[in-house]
Amino acid sequence: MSLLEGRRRPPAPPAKLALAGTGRARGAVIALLAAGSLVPPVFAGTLRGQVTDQATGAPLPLARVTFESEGTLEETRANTDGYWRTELDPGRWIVRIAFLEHTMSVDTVTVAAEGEQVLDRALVPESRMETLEVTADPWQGVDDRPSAVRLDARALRSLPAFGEVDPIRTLQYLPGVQAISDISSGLYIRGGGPDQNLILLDGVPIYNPTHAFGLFSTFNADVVRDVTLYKGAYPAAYSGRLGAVLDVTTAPGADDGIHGTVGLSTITGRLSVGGPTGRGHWHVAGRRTYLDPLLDQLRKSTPEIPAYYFYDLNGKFDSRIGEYGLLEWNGYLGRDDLHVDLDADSFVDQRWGNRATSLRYRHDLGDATLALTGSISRYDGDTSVQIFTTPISFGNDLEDRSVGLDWNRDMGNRILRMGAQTSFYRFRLDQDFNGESQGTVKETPWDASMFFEDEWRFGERANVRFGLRVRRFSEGDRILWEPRGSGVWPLSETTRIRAATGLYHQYLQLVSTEGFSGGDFYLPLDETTKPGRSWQNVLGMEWEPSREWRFTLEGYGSVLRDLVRFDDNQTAGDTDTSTDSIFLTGGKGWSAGAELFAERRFGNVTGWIGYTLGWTRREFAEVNGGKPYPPKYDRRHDFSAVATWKRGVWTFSDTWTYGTGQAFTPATARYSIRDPATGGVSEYGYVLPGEKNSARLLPYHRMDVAAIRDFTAFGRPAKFMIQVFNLYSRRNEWFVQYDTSASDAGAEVVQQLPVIPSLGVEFEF
Amino acid sequence: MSSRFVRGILAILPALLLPGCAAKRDAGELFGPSEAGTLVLDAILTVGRPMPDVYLMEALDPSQPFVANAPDVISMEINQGEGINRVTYESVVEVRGRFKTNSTAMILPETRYYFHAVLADGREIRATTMTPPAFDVTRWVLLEEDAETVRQTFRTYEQNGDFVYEQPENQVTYAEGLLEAQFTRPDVPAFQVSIESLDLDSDLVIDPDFLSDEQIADLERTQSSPAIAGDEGTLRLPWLAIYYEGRYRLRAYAIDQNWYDLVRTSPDFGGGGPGFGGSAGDSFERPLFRVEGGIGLFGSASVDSVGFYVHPRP
Repeated sequence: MSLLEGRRRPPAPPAKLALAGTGRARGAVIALLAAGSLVPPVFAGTLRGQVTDQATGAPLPLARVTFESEGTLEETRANTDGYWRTELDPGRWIVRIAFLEHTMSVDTVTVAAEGEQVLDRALVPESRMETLEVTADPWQGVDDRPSAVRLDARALRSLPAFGEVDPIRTLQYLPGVQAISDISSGLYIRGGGPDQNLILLDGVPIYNPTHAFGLFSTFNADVVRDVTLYKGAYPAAYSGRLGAVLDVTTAPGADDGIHGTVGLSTITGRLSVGGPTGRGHWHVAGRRTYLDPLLDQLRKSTPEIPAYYFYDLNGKFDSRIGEYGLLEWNGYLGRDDLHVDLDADSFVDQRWGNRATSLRYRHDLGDATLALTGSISRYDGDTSVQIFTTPISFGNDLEDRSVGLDWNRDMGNRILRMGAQTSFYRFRLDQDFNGESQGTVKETPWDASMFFEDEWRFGERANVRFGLRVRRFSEGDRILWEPRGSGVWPLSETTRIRAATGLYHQYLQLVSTEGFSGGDFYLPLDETTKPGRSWQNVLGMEWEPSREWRFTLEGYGSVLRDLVRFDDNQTAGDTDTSTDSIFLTGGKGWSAGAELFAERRFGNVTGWIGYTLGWTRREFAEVNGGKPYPPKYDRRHDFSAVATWKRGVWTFSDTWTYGTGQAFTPATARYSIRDPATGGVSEYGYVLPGEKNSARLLPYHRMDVAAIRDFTAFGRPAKFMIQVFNLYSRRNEWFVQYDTSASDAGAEVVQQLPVIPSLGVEFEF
Repeated sequence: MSSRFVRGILAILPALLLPGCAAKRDAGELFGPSEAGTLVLDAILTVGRPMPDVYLMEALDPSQPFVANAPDVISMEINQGEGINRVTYESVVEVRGRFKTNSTAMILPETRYYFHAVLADGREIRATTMTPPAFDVTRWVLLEEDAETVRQTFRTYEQNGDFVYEQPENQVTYAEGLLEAQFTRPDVPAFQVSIESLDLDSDLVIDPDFLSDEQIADLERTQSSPAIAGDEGTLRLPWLAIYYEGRYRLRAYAIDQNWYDLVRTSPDFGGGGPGFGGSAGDSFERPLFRVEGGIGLFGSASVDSVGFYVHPRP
């Protein structure tokens, strides 16, 4: 039964868009329809339904629904939850519902005057590995916004992976998105660092989305339905970060019985099960590393080998409430645990993880939707070290309790979105050294915001969106106005221009080490410091010569002000915990660049080629003598090629990436002075750092390949995977060390990972 | 565009790039534009002590073997203002780069001193420091670990001279209790602590299974702390600074701004952040040198010290 089934409601403006037969006529038709579609036809009947994926039960957002009758062709699109609705003249209509990589459904429906019919359809997915989808195109069923990219589960799972399929690592192949090293799943997007990205799991922020010090992300690909990345100038519905938004959505359980997958990779074992229940679905999944016994054995002979594991659990449940309501619960729990025993007096203990849960009630009001959401997200990290009996500890907790209300009205050629959200935070940061507190921060700020977005559609390929977000953060008593806007406009039958702009602020600061993320911690800015501010602009063009091919060229430019940077040069035992004492403040920066994206979406060979030309600069009075400098991740050229080839039961994929070498600070001299406290002299002196990040490592490049074979085990589909990370074992440069332990010692480059093959197997039931 | 064309491009492209496997290069390429020849000043004024020796050297090319290199100096002096209490320095012939003075003047607290040197090639180097107030530790104590009550109060050099190491109050067992200096905080940017093992052939008090013999041999007998705020009027010495049994001398410095800026910003002296990525990683940034015409330190401090004896755990 559909959410809307049996519903009786007054006629509403129809969500229908005419398909003009030729491009020449389209402009006039669009204009006419924009005006005419506001008036409902007399005696029209209503047809509505939901489009879902038959295999997963997941709604198919923005699926295309066309209606044909006696030479008349009309069209609408499902909303992001797969629901669609239109009003048609009475008579027989052929209804086609299409979504990429799914078999089209075709029905003949007789529409009665002033009647209402429901046409829910679960589309059958085509062969799972047949094609690859990466797109920001309405025809493909994704959000039609500049700088938005969506990857669905199949795309994520078909690409080569580093031992474990990882949605975040896959995004690093996209233009404008970079990795800082082989071991990092952090996203460096258009000149912004991971601290400037908002990462959401089913709408709830995840504050440290990594396992194994950044080697893997917290997102289990078994439960991910799709990943949408806004690389910049993101819409008013999101806020709180200066850079990008990554919105990860998990899949609900299947409609047609209990199904699941069991998988083993080189790193983890995984189990995912889901199915229908009552008037809804459930889905649970978990994974855990299983190297513990091996590490235990090795530790018997080499005690310093660490004991380490991580696990994560995902849960999802949804149920219809009454005729118009839908209740949805999502939960996530992930932990990492590391213990190293060095000797009787020395050890390292480190634990960190995220917990997140949300409860959302969505009520259908006909052409509008109202959603009430409550969520809790918690990140905690605790490190306890003892070196020769001296205890050192570091702890950081962040709890985010949020409640939000969203209202969305689709009037066919116009969509209104409004929302309000309040978040209450609790931060704790404790540092102890040798039994003495080195400073404790306890803050309980709150953040309240409202947003409004008005989207106007001009035919099927043009739209303009105006948005505004107003925020108030408790610290500093500031009200922040954040205007946003975007537009897509056709220039011809095959080309469109796209533009977006927006103003953004950030209060919560992630302090992270470039390279690994086990020591990450969060702090809010207080009244002593202005929040960081960015103004982002995007201008681009897309060209679709056919449904098979798509090319985009997008330029971006961001100006950043009031940036903060963790002050590495703090004094031990300094108990001043105000923001302007902990951070360097008043920083400036900018980034600019252009991205080229050429994508082939259909056929046996699919994939894309992406290229980014970019510049990024930062400027702090206390850094580099106050002169602007490129951050480590400033990358002039970044190229990636991704291809997937389906042949029989085999699917082959490969990726190749190339990037300008990372910036680093070179030594420019060697000098000697005495240690002022001991009078000791370093025999071979110290190296003198030159201009910050004024040199470059060698260019980075790497090729990964994967082969996946479909087979049947016990009558059920199964897959066997062979993946090779860094196929030609290029030892890319990671960082430079200057050795001053000998007179003629010089510089040494520490290299990144060599070739690493891995195997995996997966069974579906 | 045909799929054959696409397939060809996507398949061939990576193969064409395979020859670029090697990521090796000459280590000399890893250095920046040389700043060899930069003047390096090293002079520390200690309140209540005579004028110190001064070291003035030149920085060297980082890719070349390290040998001390000193410039030719025409004149060098430290004064308290234009022509006030001017102290001149002369080069020490036996040690290039070292300069001494015959002055018997003592360093005064809360006094500004100026350094100025002129080189034969016309370069000049200048620096200035404001000496801290006099600093005396009220008492050196060993605290109980849990209750943090005073277990014993050390005798001082003023009370017992070099016999402090034999005083019962100055005997400690490794890793038992907390070593702490307590004082009335003077108005200084920060403090620094150093510890020196005086019995150079004494045995280890630690049992580091995880260290190699080579690493154990490299364990320092003299160490210094990072800059410490000391806001509560206390400085605590961690046991991780002590590896050997025997006599120790512990010094607490109340330091001036120049000294403070150097030690808080230089990883070589305990400053900088917990950066990642080797010596050219996140925190590899030029330290704050408060020297005009060069780099280095012209700093000042007031100091107090105590001696004690560390016994191994039973």
